[in-house]
Amino acid sequence: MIPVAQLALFILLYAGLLFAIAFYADRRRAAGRSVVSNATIYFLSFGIWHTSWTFYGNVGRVATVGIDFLAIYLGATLVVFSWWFLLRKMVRISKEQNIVSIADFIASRYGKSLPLGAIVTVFAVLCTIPYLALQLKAVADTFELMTAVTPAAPVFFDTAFIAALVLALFSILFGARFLDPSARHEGLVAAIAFESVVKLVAMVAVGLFVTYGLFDGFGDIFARFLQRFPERGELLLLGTERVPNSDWLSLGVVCMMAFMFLPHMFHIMVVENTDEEHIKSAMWRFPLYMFLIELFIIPIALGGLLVTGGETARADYFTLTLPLFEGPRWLALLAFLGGFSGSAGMVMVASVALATLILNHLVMPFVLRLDIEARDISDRLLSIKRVAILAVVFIAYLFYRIVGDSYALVTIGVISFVGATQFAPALLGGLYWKRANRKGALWGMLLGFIAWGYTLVVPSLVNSGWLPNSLLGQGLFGWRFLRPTALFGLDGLPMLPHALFWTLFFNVGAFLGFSLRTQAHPEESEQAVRFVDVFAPPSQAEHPERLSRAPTIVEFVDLMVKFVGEKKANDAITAYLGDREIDEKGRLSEFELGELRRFTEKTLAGSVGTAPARIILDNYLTSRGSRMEEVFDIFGSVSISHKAGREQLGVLHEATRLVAGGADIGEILDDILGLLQQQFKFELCAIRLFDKEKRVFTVAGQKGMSPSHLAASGQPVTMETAVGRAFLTNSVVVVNDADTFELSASAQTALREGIRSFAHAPVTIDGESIGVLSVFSRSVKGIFTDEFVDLFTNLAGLVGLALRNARQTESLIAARERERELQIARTIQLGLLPERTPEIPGVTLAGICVPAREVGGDYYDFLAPGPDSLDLVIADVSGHNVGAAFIMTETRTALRSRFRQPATVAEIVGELNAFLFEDLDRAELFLTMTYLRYEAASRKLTFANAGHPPPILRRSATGVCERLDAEGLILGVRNSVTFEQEETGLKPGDLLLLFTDGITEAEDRDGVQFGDRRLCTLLAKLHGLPAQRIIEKILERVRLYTGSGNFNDDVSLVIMKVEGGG
Amino acid sequence: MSAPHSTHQRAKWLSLSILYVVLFTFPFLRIFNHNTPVLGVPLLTLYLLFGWLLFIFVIYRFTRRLNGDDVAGDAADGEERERP
Repeated sequence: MIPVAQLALFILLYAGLLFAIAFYADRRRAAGRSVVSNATIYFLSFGIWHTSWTFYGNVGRVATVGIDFLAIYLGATLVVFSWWFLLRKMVRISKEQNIVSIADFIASRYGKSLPLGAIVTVFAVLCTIPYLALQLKAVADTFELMTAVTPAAPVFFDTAFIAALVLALFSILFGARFLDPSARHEGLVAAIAFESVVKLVAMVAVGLFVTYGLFDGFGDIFARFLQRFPERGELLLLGTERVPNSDWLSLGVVCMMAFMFLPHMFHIMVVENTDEEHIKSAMWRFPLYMFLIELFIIPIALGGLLVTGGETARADYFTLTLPLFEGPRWLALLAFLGGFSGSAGMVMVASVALATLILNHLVMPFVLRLDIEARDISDRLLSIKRVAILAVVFIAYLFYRIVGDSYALVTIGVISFVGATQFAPALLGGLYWKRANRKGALWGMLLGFIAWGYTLVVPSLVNSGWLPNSLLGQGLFGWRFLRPTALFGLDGLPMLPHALFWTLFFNVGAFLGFSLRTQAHPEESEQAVRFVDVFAPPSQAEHPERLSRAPTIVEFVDLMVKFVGEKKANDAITAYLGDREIDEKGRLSEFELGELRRFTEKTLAGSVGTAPARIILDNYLTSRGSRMEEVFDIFGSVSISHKAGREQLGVLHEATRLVAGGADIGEILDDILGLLQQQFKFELCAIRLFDKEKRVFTVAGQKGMSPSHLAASGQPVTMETAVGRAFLTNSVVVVNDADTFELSASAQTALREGIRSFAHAPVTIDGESIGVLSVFSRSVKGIFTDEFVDLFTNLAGLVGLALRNARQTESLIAARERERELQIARTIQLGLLPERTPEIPGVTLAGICVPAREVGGDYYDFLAPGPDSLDLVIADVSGHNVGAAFIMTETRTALRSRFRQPATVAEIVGELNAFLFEDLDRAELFLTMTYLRYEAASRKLTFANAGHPPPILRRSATGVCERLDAEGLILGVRNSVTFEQEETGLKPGDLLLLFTDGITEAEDRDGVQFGDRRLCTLLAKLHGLPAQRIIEKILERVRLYTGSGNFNDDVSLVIMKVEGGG
Repeated sequence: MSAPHSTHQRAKWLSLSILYVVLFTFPFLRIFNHNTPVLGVPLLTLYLLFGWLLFIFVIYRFTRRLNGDDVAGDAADGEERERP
């Protein structure tokens, strides 16, 4: 025996552990990094199917009735097998229609009917109550067993009551701490997944203990059992008196239905599902789990019988009593924990699911009806949910008190299951039969549940003494054909098959009858298509539905309140209503309806933008009545009417106008962002461009982004963020609900910035992505419909266009700038050249400079220090820009101001070098130059050279070309250079040719340079001509040589011809 | 249910399900409805448990075949869309 306090403490610790797990999971979800959204947790969460029924009920059944419990799991396995078609369809529909409960599902399918939702809720509660009671019973009984205490206390302090209290509290803690708009409870799921593991471990541990600890294995148990209780061999058979074949089949069928349609099972399977793919692996993993956990049921039961000598009084609890009395204490604790997990888990999920149902389908409609001043009740919703949880658990407790002890656990459970089966025709029919309509569903369920009540609940009440026995024996009012267990004379069937038959008969009969005989409403038909054909290709366009039931003013106001706040909504509606006539129900005529709708749209547009306002109205009016809890999060999968499409065209037009407007690119981007912000009320938007070198995004324009958000852009671009993904895959990334987005980096950013939905579109130039256009919304989810995404993509394209234009303009401007610069340089350069040749006795001079396409930096000059002497200079500067031109100007000025002072040629060049060095060095330019001095009297020619092509001197006497070379470094290399000076004498008829490398490096078509040899040859031919003619001829020749009219480099020539001679 | 799922798959599924039901209801159950020990375990118990395990394996194989088969038909084409 274990002391009460100790066991209680143990339970609390365990609950604490579960809570910690749940808390952690919820935190992770809030941080965008869910631990629950994976296949393993998903299939583990189904473990909730195994409650104390598994742990205790089944064992008791085997010991007393037989092994028909296997039908439960064989049936469940068959259902699981169908999941890829059935469950997936249900999940797909639920996600598309934003369905959060089974009542939602059914109501939504049949035209979003409020009454249907309410009825389903009531029946869901009714059929779950027995199942809940079962759990309370198990917890209470096992607690008493463990502590060997049976409190003889007044009714309100019995163990079951405390169990109810505790479990209700747990449920609130795990499932109603806050309202999640998607009605998912990740913490809860995590906790029950953990419990599933505990259950499996506990069951297997006890099983192994009994099979191999108390006995010598499976064979041993069976052999001993059959030997000792041969008359009970029937327990291991089917088709017996206690387990007729009809029972086996019925149990199987009923469990299949219950497996899917019990509200808590539906919730776990459909609502808490995060990814359809998880279903695939769950399909074999969960049956395996079931197999392992049920494997030891039979040995435990038989072992128990052997140990107790055939005593079946408390056979239900063999799983606990065997370790408790025959084994180690820790094992008993573990067993208790397993059973407790089974009960607690189911109670938590079921009560939370039922509370949601009650809230959405019973409470909210009433609130809407009664409250004309649309009060914002979102803060009350949570309290209502909690109260509902408490209510549900305590009703279960009451049921237990009334019925509990007179029935074995399994029987109570079966009552539940048959109740859940009543949803099958409406739900399954609705999924696969388009003609199924609301009336059929309604009447089918109604009749089914009435039959259920009469054939199952009534007998249980009779058996526990609350109703007279005569009812069973003689029927209602003494009419024998109304006997609850032999209705209409169908006797000979055990209770279960009998009940199953009649309930399904009435249910399916009414369902078929009404569906075939009455017409469906238009909105029903639309929904029918949406449900049945959910897997059809999406090419079918969705048209907005026509309203067939007028909404009330209250509903419009309620909608407005959610978006614009209470005061504004009230003011608006008051102003609008003025003294219009409304009937007391708040309904409107068709005309008024249209007006009110327009008005509401206008009011909403003020807050969320015109397009979203229209979407909200469309969707609200079609989905009204289905999800009251999250009216503030109303977007699901939405179709835009054609009117909204026109609006989007307007945006596109405006954007195009901006781009073509030719304003500054920064302005254009800004305006486009402004457009997005204004029209669609995106609080944040940005255009980010990819920097190729740094491999991050730079922000080219943004509105409303916080510094931290912008800083995040500075991170390296990877696939880990949504924006990176959009850029790298060159495709649009749309996230309609930031809560469920998996990429952690983006999800965290979204969370931090309070972003609820966003989208990125790549900006491309010529198909290559260069950046991303992003929009974020803090206020609404689900705005990114197909049409909107089209618009968005188009806008991104326009941005790309604008950028491309800007870049082209830039390069155009740059080119023009360069042109201008060249012009200036050319002008300067030409201005440097001497206007006329000086008159020096005995020689004729001629000079020319032909500037090339690319400005070079040629310069030549004639300087006359005296009447009889002449300085010739020719120079070439590297570089083709204004800077080079300035250097030349400097040179000319320096030379011209310098030359009057007596100095040798070499000195002049040397001084020039020193003078120009700093500027040349800074500009990284070089100057080549030849400087010559001719004295007419002595006919002496002195010259110095700074890296320039040596002038050619053709001697008339010999006809040989001499090169006048002198040692000297290019100007601008070293600060102080000494230049060599050479001398030579000129004879009459000699021809001196100064040139720059533009001539000698002129290339013909084959790239062969002209070279000075050719020059020389030319000179030989032309020497008889006057100097000017010689130059012209040379130019002609070179032009012919290159084959084009233009030279690559400046070409400068200076001829000095000594007169006389032949 | 419409097009995307291969009818072959569905036919297979249907036949397996029917087979399952047949094997675990009256006629076949009657055949195995004895307590004679096989491998130490009474026949019916063994049949039910082992049959169940076998079917789980069949499901496993079935899900393997499912991979990639019907996803293509359901996905929207063109742009990427992150679904919850």
